This record gives sequence, structure tokens and C-alpha cells, in this order.
Amino acid sequence: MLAGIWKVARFEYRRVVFRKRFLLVLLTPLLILLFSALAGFASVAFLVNTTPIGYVDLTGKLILPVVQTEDTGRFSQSVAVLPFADEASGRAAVEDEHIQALYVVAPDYFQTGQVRMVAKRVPSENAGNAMERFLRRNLVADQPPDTAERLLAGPIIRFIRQDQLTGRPNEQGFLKIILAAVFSFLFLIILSITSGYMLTAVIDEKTNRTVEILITSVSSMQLMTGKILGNLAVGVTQLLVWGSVPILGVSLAAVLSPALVNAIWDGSLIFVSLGLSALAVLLFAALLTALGASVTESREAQQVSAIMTLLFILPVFFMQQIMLQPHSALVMILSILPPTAPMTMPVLMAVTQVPVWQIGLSFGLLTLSAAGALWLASYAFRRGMLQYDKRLHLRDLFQRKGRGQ
Amino acid sequence: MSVIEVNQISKSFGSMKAVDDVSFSVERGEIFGLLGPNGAGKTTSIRIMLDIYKPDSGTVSLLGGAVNEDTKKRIGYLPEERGLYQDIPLETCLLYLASLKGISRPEARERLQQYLERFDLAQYRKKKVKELSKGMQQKAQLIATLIHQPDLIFIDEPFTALDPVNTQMVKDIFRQERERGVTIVMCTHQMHQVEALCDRIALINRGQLVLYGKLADIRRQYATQAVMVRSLLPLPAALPGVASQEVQNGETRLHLVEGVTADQLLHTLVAHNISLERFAVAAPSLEEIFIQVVNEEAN
Repeated sequence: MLAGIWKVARFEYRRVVFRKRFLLVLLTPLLILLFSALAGFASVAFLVNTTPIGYVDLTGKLILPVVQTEDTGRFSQSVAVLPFADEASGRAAVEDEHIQALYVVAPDYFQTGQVRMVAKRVPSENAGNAMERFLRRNLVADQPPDTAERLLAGPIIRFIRQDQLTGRPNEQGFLKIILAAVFSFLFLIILSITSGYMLTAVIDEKTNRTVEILITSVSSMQLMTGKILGNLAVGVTQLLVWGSVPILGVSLAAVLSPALVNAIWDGSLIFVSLGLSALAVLLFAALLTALGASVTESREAQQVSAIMTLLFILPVFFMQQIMLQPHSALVMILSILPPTAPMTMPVLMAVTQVPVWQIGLSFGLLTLSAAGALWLASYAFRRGMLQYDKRLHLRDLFQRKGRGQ
Repeated sequence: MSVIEVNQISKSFGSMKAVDDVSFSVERGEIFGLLGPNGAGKTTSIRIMLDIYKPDSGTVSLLGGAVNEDTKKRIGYLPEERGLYQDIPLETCLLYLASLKGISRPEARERLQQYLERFDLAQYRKKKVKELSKGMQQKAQLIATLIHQPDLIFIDEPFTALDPVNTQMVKDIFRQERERGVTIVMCTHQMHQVEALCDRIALINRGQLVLYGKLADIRRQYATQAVMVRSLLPLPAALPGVASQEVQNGETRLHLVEGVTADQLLHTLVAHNISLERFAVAAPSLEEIFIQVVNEEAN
């Protein structure tokens, strides 16, 4: 049994992967990414202006020193903020281009917030940011240090379910949403990669008439399982190659900023995301294979698969509601339904506490659905395999007598 | 024990009865012809035998039992609907199909080399299948059927797309396989190939078995009271014991009066000093029998 599955899976994998076309598909996004990264670096390098800025304090109350950011190097955005005794000396510095802008803080600044800028041309964004940071720090200078830091950090939104007030609050909610979004993005990618391979996998055999030869060598279950696993392996290969870029990025971040990685890392979220995604991809693949077994042309299958894909990515359209109303009935349903669970649950876990039963139900339904879809794929294949030029209708699939039972 | 035992199988698709209570057996080491007009139920019968379809009723025993994963490894099948993977090299395609039949890769490679040379395809092994001609693909398909040295072979129209040279080569291979003890079930509309190869036949029409047995017995059964004669000079218009004469392709078919035997006619011709080049009992061709039986069924 396993030997047959292995041979089919190996052949399916090699048939796709060891071709020039696959290499092209594999490398194109990486090249696009590389090009985008280079373009991004170039734009930063050319658009960021690190020439110092100056200020004249007419209030006489800006007492805190200028705090420089720590970033340095070729792409550093830090701008030195230099004090000037009067506007005339500052203007002279602007004229000589020693500074890119002079900010004149009005005497009634603390009442009106008025600041006047003198510059030969519009200063860079990082210049304005540096001045703003300097002024903000001075505005909270009279507060205790903790309060001042808190005021500068801005609001932190925290969702806590009423029935789980003792649970773990999501201190790093925003970062975890990013983590959940990364998993959702990976899920989307693998869905789109897999769909093409799965559809053509079975249609190929129907088109090239190899079905009868195969089915007199291995069982339909061996054939379908081997095909699904082989094509999933192709998708995983593609994902691993493409995923190597973000993995490298995360590794680099871990080296540079372990604290950031610790803040993002959430074992249960990662486990649930990976588990649900794996099951959902299997479900998606099996459904597509069943679809491929029941139609006669790949174009026809692609149209139906587009609708099926839409069902799996439905949570994208409700992402705002998932984040802002995580306890609504709609969000709960999305987190439990097999096709929508993999994209909904991770985001839900990032913004709120999700009961264990809800996660368990999600896993259970998805497992049952995936197993059912595998059976359906094998059954549809057996029913539809010899209907070379005919579409297999639902009624044909479930009637008692028919071709290839 | 018979290699194939088909016992009262029936199969319907909706209201159409494709196979109706068909029974026959095939012995080890024979080439068995499964014949019938288009849509008679031959391919459905083969698919039932191979467990692609389940019969509505009846049983099939192949190589001593029901078809299972081990049995499949001992069967070679060239289906009516031909097909190979088009976008991969010929060698890769055939090695994959061989591996599904359970033979090791080194052994498959060795046998493939022999077959490719024999079928004059060795130089095309790295070519994609879709780049091969129809005849080459047909030969490649035959290799896929034979490479694992099966004990039982099902072949549906094996000579389609083959030129006379390759047809002869394939016939030789079938004969060699038969000598090796391999059983071959062959479906074809080329009756002269059946006459040349088959030991026994079954003729299916409208899903029912209408003729079954040894080819020689069937031809004898359908033999008419006639002899075929080729003489150096034209035959006399009236001959004792001859009811009528009919010229066919340079020979004369003499229809005998009832009760007159071929031996008696030969004596008569010799007595009349007629020089003969050929004298033979006029057995009907399989094609004639086929047409006669099918037409009788239609009427």
C-alpha cells in the first residue's frame, strides 16, 4: 500500500520540480523581491537627508537635551538637532546649507503650539520627525519619568473576555497580529501554489488517457493519496524556497534584537496556526483533486476552483471585524468553519483569549472535513476516471450504479 | 485451472445492458480473441475482468482468484484508450509505469534497454513522448504492457497505427510470449490477425456471447458445402455433383450437391482429366463468420 503511494508521490513531485518551468516559477518572485528590496534601499539612500536641523528657543523653556536615535550606518535616518542663540545665526546656517531647516519655537509655544520653519527647500521627513520627538519630550518634561514614557508610547489596545478575566492579557497584541498575518499570508501563498498543481494532476491522466494503465497497477486510493502528497510536497518546496527570505529576515532580527523576537514569539499561536493550515491545505487539495476528477478541462476546473479559493480566503474580507469585534457570532463561526478557521483563528488568538473548546472544535471539524474530502477525491476519481469527455455531475457521483464504481 | 474464469457476468449503465450473462474461460498459454462489433461489450468485459468496473452480477477469477494488488503486478494491459504522459521523456515515463508494476529500477532499466532496441526506439529515449509519432507511441505503449513480463496480457487493438513491419514484429512477440506460457486476451477488428494468432475466440454481440470455442471448430461449424479450385484450364460448365460455380479472385468456388463429399468431387475432377493447381475445402473466413453472425443477430 505505502510503496504504491510513495512511487506515485515521488513521480508527481519529480515531474513538476525537475523542470525548467518550475525553476522559473520558483525564482521569479525572489528576483522581484530582490529588485524591490534594492529599489527600497536606493530610495531610502537617496531620499533621506541626514543634514542637521536647528532650532531657536524663544520660550527659553526647552530644557531637555536632544536625544539622538541609536541607528547609524549607511541608511541611518538620524538627524542632529542643533540649538541656535537667535534666528539670524540660524538663518545664516540655512543659507550656508549647514542645516537643512531652522525651527523657530514661538515665545507662546506652550499655549499655541506655534513653530515656524525656515528652509531653502522642503526638509526631509526624518528631519521633521526629529524635531517633533524633541518637542514632545520637552512637553512631558515636568511629568514623572514613567508617566512621561507612557505618554510618549501612545495607546495600547487590550481585549479581555469577560469570562476570562484571569487569562493572559495580550501585552504585545500588535506584534502578535503581525505574526498571525504572516501565517495567513503563508497560508494564502500555499493555497494559490497548490491549486494549480492539484487541478492539473488528475485532469492530466484523464486527458492523456493513462488512467486505465495506472488503475490496473495501483488502487485508486493509492493513486489519489500519492498524487495529493506529491503535489503538496511541490507546494511545500516552493514555500520553503520563498520562505527562506523571511526566515533569513527573522534570523537576522533575532541576532540584532532578541527582545523583539521574544515579544512576538507565541508557541500556542504558532502551533495552532501551523496545525490548522496543514489540515486546511489538505482539505483544499483533496477538494480540488475531486473537482479535477469530475471535469474534463483544466479551464473549467480553474473557474470552479476560483470560487473554492474565495471561500478559503473569506476571512480577509472580515479582518477588521475579527480584530475589532473578536467576540461577535460571525467571527466565532469563521473561526470554527473548516475553510475559514486557518486565517481567522491566529488573528483571533492575537487579539483576545480564545477558549480551548473553540480551538478544539476547529481542529476536530477540520480533521473530519479533510478525511472526508480525501475519501471524496478517491471516490470521484473512481467514478469519473473513464468518463473521458464527460463531466461528472453530483447526481452521477452519488447514484448507486454508474461508471467505474 | 483456467487463467481466466468469467462466470455469468452482467453489467448495465442506466437502462443499457452492456454485458449480459457472459461466461467463458481462458487457458494458460493461449492467445484468446475477444471479438465483436463496436459497442458490443468487449471493452466493458475486459474492464470487469480487470476490476476497473464491478459487475452487477457474476464473478471473475484471474490467475486463480479475485483481482488484488499482487494480481495487478502480473497483468499487462494495453487499453483501447491509449495514453502516456506527454510532457516527460519516454524513458522516464516507461520506467515509472514499470515501477508501479513492482520491478526494481535496475531491472526495469535493463529490460527497457532491450525493448527500446527491439522496437527501434533507443535513440528516442530522451525525447518527450509528445514528440514521438503515433506509431512510436503505440510501440512505447506495448513496451509498457510487456516490460514487467506479465503472466496475463490484455491487449485492445494492438496493431492500430503500426506499419506492416512493426505489425509482424508485434505478432512475433505475441507468439514468443505464448511459448513462454503467457496468456494473451486480444481484442481486434482485424480478423486476419485473429486467424493468424488466436487459438480460441469469443464473439460478443449486444452484450451477449454468441460464439465461443476453438477457431478451427468454429470455421468448420460454419463451413458450407463447397470447395475452392484453381485449374490450369477453364472448368467445364457442368460437372457431376456440382450444383453451381462461382469465380472468386482467380479461383472457382464449386457448391456441391447435397450428399456429395469433397473426396468424391476430387475423384470426379481427376476422372475428367482436369489439371488442378489447388483444391481445398472452402472454409469461411472469420470475417465472413463475423458478418454472418452479427447480421443474423440483427435480424
